[in-house]
Amino acid sequence: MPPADALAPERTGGGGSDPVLEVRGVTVHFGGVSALTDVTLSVDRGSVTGLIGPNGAGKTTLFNVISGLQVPNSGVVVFEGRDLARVRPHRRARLGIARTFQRLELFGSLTAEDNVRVGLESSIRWWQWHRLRASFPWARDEAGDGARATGSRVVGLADRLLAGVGLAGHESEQSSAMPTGSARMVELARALAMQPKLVLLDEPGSGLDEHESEALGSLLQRLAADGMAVLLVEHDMELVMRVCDRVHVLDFGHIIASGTPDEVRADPRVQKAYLGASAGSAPAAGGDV
Amino acid sequence: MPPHDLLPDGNRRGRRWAKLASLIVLITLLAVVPPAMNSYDQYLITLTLVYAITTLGLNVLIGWTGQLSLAHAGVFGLGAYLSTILIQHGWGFVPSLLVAGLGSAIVGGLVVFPALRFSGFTLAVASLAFASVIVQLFDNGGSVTGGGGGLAVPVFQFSGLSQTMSTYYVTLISTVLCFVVAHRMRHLRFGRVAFSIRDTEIAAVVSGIRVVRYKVFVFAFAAFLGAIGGALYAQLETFIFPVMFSTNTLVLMLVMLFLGGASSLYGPIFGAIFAVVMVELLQSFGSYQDLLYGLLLMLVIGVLPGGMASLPERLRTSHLLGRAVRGVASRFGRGRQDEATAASPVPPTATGSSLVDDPGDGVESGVA
Ligand SMILES: Nc1ncnc2c1ncn2[C@@H]1O[C@H](COP(=O)(O)OP(=O)(O)OP(=O)(O)O)[C@@H](O)[C@H]1O
Ligand SMILES: [Mg+2]
Repeated sequence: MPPADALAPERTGGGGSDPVLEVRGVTVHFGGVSALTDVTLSVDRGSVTGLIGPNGAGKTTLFNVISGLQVPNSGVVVFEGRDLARVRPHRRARLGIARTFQRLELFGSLTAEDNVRVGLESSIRWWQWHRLRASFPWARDEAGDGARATGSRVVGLADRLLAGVGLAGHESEQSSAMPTGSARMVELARALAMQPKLVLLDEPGSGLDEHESEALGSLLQRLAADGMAVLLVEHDMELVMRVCDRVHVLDFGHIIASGTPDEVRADPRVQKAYLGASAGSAPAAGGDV
Repeated sequence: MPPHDLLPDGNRRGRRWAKLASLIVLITLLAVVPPAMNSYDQYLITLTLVYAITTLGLNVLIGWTGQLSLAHAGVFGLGAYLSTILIQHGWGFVPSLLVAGLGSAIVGGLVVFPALRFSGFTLAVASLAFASVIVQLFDNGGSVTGGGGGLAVPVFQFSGLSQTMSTYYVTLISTVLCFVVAHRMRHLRFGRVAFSIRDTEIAAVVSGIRVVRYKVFVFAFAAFLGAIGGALYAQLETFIFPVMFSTNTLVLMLVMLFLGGASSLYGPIFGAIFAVVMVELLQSFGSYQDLLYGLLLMLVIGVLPGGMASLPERLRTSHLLGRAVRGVASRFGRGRQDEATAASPVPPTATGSSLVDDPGDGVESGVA
């Protein structure tokens, strides 16, 4: 159990940090395995925060706890000052927590555009039917021939989001037929469609080539500049070190280091954890800063 | 991007009108031709429509939303029994049809409770058990359900029309209404959400979808359609007994579903036509008919794993046949294309400015 003071709402304005998400004392056991032990971290508004660690460290499990898919054995998740313990996953999504998955979870039978539309439309309530109406197929025709693609607001937004992740022109491709890199970007666009305040990205860079992951990095920095909080799980250390404002390091379910990329890289425990796991993926390996 | 999206807009609009016009012609034919048929053919065509409505319900459940629920034959029976009992108590046919549909939607919707906990095989078994409980109720319902001996159905009749033709017209109207509603649902938000839940429920949840609420609705709607089918079936058969709603009927429904094309909107119609026509054609083969039926089923499923509704798509994508069909199709316009890529005919040039800023810096445009 975490100490009682860890559960108390913490409003220390020190350092001008503005946490949108706070995880306090989260512990998760799977049978005898401790996936997470007393994990505490926070994610600031308008920043990219890295979450790194060797395989099996518990990164995905922590994402599941934050998005509500995994109930922790103890600990709290606080989003914008609100304890999420009793908030179900779809409500968390609507409050502003979006995520992508390490193992792609796309709506494979839908087109790229429709994948994004599901994200866009999920925030529309049935009594707001007039907003929904904008997604009716004929709304496009009414706008006249030239403006067909943008005549419908929802379709237009979906297409702009896809263009934003570099998929302009791929709107009507069936998502299950897309290459991994593009599919990851569709998933990202779907998450962004919900206009989240916090987006959890579980290895968005895997399956991307060098140029693509560079573009992903600058996209994430732009999102943060717009005020979104990004929590990034990533094995591509170069990407992490380049875009993250802060980095938390998980090892066997424990947070072993937190700080700026430089601080974390210099931390002997981190180096030990990574060298212990595999020398090739040490955080210092790809750093060019 | 498939080539059809490059067609000029006028062409696409023309196709939509052509599609609508041919539907109207088809429905008009279905309205005016059957009176001239013999009553057995009238029976067969009504049966086809009844099967189509019923299988549509199963399609929404299994094909669209991916819920492997097998209570449909029971729900079909529930519609038949409820409407018949109501009519016996002096209700008019149309009110009894609607109340049987709504009542079964509530009862059939109960299957959603196992569906919220289980999926796949476990749900299949639980729902099958549910269906057999319903059929047991028919069997042991005493004078209300007539027990194993069944119930005679008071048949509704328009003045000036035969019983069969009266049932036929009500069935035709119901079919059109059910498919229009299903068509709208499929192409609006509901359809996208249903497919999302089928494809990956976890992602649907974290996309903010109230999966539970959608499932409740899907199960109720499927039961409603099944029960409407059942009520019309009772009118058509004029006598109902529990065995008519056994697992054999479920198997027939599943055959119609997968043969017609699960997840396609019009698949149930093709499946129903196949089921009715095949049984009739094979009747002349006497004791071999079941064997032939089985072989034919295997053949069709083997050749068309996506069901009969996937035939045009299959022709388009196969090399040799495809070229011939494409040649013909380009002359007449392709109706069924709308089905696959519905509501997303976006011209490749229409990208608009990036919502997330500078499109020139987009992830993949950076590569090019
Ligand atoms: N559903 C589960 N049941 C049992 N054990 C689990 C489950 N999910 C995760 N684990 C275990 O919890 C630990 C943490 O797993 P997790 O997937 O969170 O690691 P990760 O940091 O995301 O690893 P990777 O880098 O490989 O994605 C692992 O030991 C894993 O085997
Ligand atoms: Mg993981």
